[in-house]
Amino acid sequence: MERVVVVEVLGRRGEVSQRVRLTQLPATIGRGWTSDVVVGDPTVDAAHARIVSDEAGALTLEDLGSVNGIQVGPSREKLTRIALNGLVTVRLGRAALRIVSGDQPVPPAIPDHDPTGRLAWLLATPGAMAATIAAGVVLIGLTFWLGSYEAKAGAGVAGQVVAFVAATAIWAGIWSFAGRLSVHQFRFWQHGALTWLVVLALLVWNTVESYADFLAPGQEAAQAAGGLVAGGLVVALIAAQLGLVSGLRRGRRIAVAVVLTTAFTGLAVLAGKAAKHDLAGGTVPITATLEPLPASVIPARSVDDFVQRTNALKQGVDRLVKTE
Amino acid sequence: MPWPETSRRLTAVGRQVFAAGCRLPAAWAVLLALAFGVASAQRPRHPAVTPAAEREDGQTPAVFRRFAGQVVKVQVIEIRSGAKAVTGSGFFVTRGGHVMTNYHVVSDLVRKPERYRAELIDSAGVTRPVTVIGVDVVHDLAVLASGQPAPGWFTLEPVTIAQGLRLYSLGHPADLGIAIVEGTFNGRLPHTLYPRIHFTGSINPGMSGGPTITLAGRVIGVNVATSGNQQSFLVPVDDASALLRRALGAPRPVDSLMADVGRELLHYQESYLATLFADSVPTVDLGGLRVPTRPAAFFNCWGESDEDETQPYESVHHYCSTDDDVFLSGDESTGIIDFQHDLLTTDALNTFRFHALYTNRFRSLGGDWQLDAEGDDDLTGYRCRTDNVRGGGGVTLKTVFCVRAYKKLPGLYDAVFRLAVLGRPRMGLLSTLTMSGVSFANAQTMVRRYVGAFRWSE
Repeated sequence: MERVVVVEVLGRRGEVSQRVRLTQLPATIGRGWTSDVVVGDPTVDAAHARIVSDEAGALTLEDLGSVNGIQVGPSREKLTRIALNGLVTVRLGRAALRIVSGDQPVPPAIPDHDPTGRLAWLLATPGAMAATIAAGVVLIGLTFWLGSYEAKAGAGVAGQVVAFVAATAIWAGIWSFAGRLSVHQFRFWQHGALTWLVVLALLVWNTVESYADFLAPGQEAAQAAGGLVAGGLVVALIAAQLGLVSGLRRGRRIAVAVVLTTAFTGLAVLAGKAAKHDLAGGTVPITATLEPLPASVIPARSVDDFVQRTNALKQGVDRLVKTE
Repeated sequence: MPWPETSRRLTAVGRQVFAAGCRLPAAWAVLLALAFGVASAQRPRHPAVTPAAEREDGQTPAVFRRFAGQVVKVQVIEIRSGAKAVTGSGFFVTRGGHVMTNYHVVSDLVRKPERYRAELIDSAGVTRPVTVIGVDVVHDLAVLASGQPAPGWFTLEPVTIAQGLRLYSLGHPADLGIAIVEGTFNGRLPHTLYPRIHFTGSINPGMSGGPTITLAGRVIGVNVATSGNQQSFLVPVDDASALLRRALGAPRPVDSLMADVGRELLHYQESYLATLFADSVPTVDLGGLRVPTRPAAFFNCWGESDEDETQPYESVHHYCSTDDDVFLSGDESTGIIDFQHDLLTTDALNTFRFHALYTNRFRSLGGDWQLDAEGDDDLTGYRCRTDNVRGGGGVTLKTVFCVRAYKKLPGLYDAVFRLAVLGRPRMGLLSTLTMSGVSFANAQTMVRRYVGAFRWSE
């Protein structure tokens, strides 16, 4: 079997500037033109080092009496012989080289897949992505506008929209960058479209929840379920974006997304608690919403029924007297 | 306390100022005394006054000579630091050396008998330990027992006197030594839950618990509060006399006084809430709704409109409150009922934007008004229930009822009830009823009656 050794000459930033495939040993490395691997760095000798193989096939890098010697890792120690096992990075003077035996295995290829699944058409259609983002921006603008009640609220609403768009762009940008690193795919608009799709869904869900709480207030189970749905939407977003930046399988992506969402939510809750504690010393928030619906469609109790149901509050605070 | 601050509650504010004054640290008192001493040193010690002029000066010196010896200084001492926590005044009311003073002078001791002790300093400068043997928290009175005979004492008997009669108030203002203040009797305050005498004269902090007497030495009332500008208030002698009888008949050990306070407050709220909002509550029209106003003579109501042209909405406020709070401690008073209506209307906002405003106001009525989630030494945190309610008058409401319990006064609660009128596109009415120091059942009854008072105007 032919013995193959590959020497990669690295550039300043660690990129491969030259790759030489050696099939005959010993092979020389140096600045001289007759070297098998020519390294043009002034700190490299004309004949600096050579790669040899013994009877058993073990590879060694030997110094040929060079001025600057051979160095490995952060050490400045000049070595005369180095065993070449697997992949070894050495320095000859200021030049960095990576030497690898040809029988060294390489990692499996990263699948270069186009997005699959139900959202594939969206991510493959620029028009649909633009429409999603546009719809999201319009809806967030509308939400901010209808939530404002100051005179001349326009400027403030515009500022909020710009800030929100910037935040989604940063989010999509972070994912794009991760994709660039892992699968060499930037896909900024795909990340943006996915993000805005979930923003749209969250806005719609938020409105549904708000009206539901207005019509049937104080349903803690419903509020918890509402929170779970919102969390599920965020999990779906992160899982989809993981699909764009990695070759992870669906189950694994969802698991990672759940962990990330839980961690984010936990941090947000802690931050919120800390902020509230500092600012207000812990207050009972009144979370009720008032929605513009005619009185005839609003289910309501009689006063007596309402008052009857407040009995539980007495038990609650009486218990606090005993426990605090 | 989450109660909206208002400068109108003059008695309450006056009381707080007064109580704060009582708590003047000793160092301040020394400084003040020095300042006075310096000022007086610059004047001739014996101003040239002719005997005739001295006679024209009236009867005050005679009153002072005769009765000052029956007035004492009362000090509450924090046992650990050995320093004065509160100083006030008192006066002997029995031959056996019982002293009448204000509850708010000795409230620290009543609430934490293990941390404080009380003593009196008589006119001769002799200090004696005293114990509290009875309190009347509603009228702000306390009886102390000194265990030694009094050099002289006032008898507490009912008196009827004419408005304008000259009265003399005695006490120990701000640690400066005993002082006498002249003033006039101006009858009982109208529209208060419990009686108070209006005394026109400058009672000062530290004179709390001292007597206000006639020329002949008959006690008219016990100094209790001021709102400045010579408006001072006295607890009528009848209440002091009632408490004295009770305390002498059955002296209470100090560690059971707090339970007495709780029982008294429960009894008190039962009496004044019995008919409140019960039937035919007076109402006013706000935005097409009849809403309750001044449900009893002991309430005061005020109104105002926001005329801020830069806002795309208008608001009108209507506020009613009892004046009669009950002092519990330096930072806690109870027994206040108040309610506020806030009408919001708009022409400039669409119904969605209006409801965003309405929701925001519903959640944060009254600016810094907050419901503490966490309790403290005296109160638990608030717990709330939210619901939709159709009132008897066909008005659909969003309602929130929040309550917290008094930890040391079993059976007493603070409650906050808030409602928002629903179903109108560009009109909203918020209303908040706050009740402090009430039983839970009474809080519920008040809510039922309060909601019943809301109706659409025909």
